[in-house]
Amino acid sequence: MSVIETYGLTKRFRRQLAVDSVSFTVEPGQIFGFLGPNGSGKTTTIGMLLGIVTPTAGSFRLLGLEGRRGLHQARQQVGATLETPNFHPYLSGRENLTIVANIKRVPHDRIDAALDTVGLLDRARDRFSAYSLGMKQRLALAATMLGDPKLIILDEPANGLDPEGIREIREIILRLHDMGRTIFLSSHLLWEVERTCTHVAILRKGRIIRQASVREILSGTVTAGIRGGNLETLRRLVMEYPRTVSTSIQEDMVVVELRDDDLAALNAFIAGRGIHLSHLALRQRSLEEVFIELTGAQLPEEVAGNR
Amino acid sequence: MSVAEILARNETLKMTRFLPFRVTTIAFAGLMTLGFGSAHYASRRAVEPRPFELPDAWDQILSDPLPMALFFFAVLLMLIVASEFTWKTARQNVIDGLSKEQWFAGKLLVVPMLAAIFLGLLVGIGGLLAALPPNAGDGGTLLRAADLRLMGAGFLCMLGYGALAMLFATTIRSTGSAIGAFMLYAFLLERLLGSGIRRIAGSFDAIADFLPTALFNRLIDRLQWDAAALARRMEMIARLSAQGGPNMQPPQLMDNVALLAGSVAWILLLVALSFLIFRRRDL
Repeated sequence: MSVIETYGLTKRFRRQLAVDSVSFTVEPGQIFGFLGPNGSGKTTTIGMLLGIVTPTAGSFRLLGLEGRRGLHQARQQVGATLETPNFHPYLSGRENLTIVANIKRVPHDRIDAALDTVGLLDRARDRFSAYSLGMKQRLALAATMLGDPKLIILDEPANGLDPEGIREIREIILRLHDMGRTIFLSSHLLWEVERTCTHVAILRKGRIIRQASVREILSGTVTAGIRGGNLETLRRLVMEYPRTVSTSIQEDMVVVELRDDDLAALNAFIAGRGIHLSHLALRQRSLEEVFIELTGAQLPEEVAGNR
Repeated sequence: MSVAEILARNETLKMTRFLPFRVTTIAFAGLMTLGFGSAHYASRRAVEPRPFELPDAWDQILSDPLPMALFFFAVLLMLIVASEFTWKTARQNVIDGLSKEQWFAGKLLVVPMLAAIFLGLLVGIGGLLAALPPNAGDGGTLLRAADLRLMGAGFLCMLGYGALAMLFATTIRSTGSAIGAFMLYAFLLERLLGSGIRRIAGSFDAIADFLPTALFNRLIDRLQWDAAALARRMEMIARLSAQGGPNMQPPQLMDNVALLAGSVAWILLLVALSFLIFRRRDL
């Protein structure tokens, strides 16, 4: 049984088509990254899954259940946050979790365990409004864990955090995954997604343009970095190599996109034409490169700044 | 835990920890203590011609301060409801597992809870100070049937204003704007609408009496519920008229059944409208 299945999910806000016939599947045990530039429809899609945005068309199943009653029942087994952590600012962390625990019908003695997991037990009595952004994000994660959910949906969980905060959130997500939870994660922090997720779907202008495992997405082509003699001469020579897809000069090397990873054959080809390489190495394509290629997006400043 | 229990526990926690709730109830209680305390003191010093003692003190307790209680109650209710949209906690509660219907029911629970608190403070503080010696009365009845009827009608009036406040809060979803729009409607627009209807509706001008706040305000008119007070008023008008005094019109009262039915119908309509608007819109 799939954890999430959507069929032609569509949302139109008056004249604007925010989500356009989105279909995807999330299987148990995956950490599923839902990627897309700002305004691509990620949050709206998640909103539809969580019942706070009404779809214009299409349908979906959560934990194998569908229909109004079925989805309401399924959502009892889902822990989720959407956009920013949303809590009552005048209540303490523990009081906010008490409200969540009541809704999820969870015994109150689990509240402290959840707070402990995210490292907030010693600040449990402080007001939510006094928390730093990182603490707010961690409290949101604690709330999602409360009902022992089968599925955790997180919308930009590391948004606005410093590198230490991002690392903490990543560790918590991986810990939750190790505990057997399926995680559906939207983010624009692509290197984080690459490190954390097992599968991704890439959204552009409300449509899914690619859905696959991270490994599959990154292994479509092989890229090698080579150096030796004049870079322009080397680039022209490599263009003649039959398995070359494309070439470019980046910084102090020629980057070659190849159809296979047989670097020995490439080396022999170049040496056979009288050029001896001083550097030859495989370069792993990053998710970021694939993302930009697919979406034509500019990287947000925040992403560039965090790298 | 049943859904009703979950909603009651959560709404009680949210409400009792909410600073505006504490400030408003304490301020209201303070004002009532001051007002009724000074009436009690004046009565002790025999400054007042009418002693502040039960059961007659109910006339005073349930007249002037009731509109103030209504105002405090409606504003606080809008703060409680609309802030859930500002903080996006309404959305989060639904994400956490409440249905939209359950969330709305939770907020609806706040209306009678808050109405009971304000009416309770009014009746409790007023009644207590009026019952203090030496104004404890003659040991006869402390609460007349008419006082009870007026208290019930006052509670219904609060529910009416609460339903109207819910409509503004769930439709506008912003505390300041909801309170502003509510005031504009209750204090100006409905009066303009009423006078417009009276001018153009000819023999149907009674429709104006059935506008929501016009009807709710009539609920807290003692003369609607107290036959003895009505008789006293008629007697006074007749006496003034006989003495050649100003020509006073007899009070325009409404049939009590029509008043109650109309008020309940408005409350149901306003709640239904709030719910439909809330359910239709995305969170």
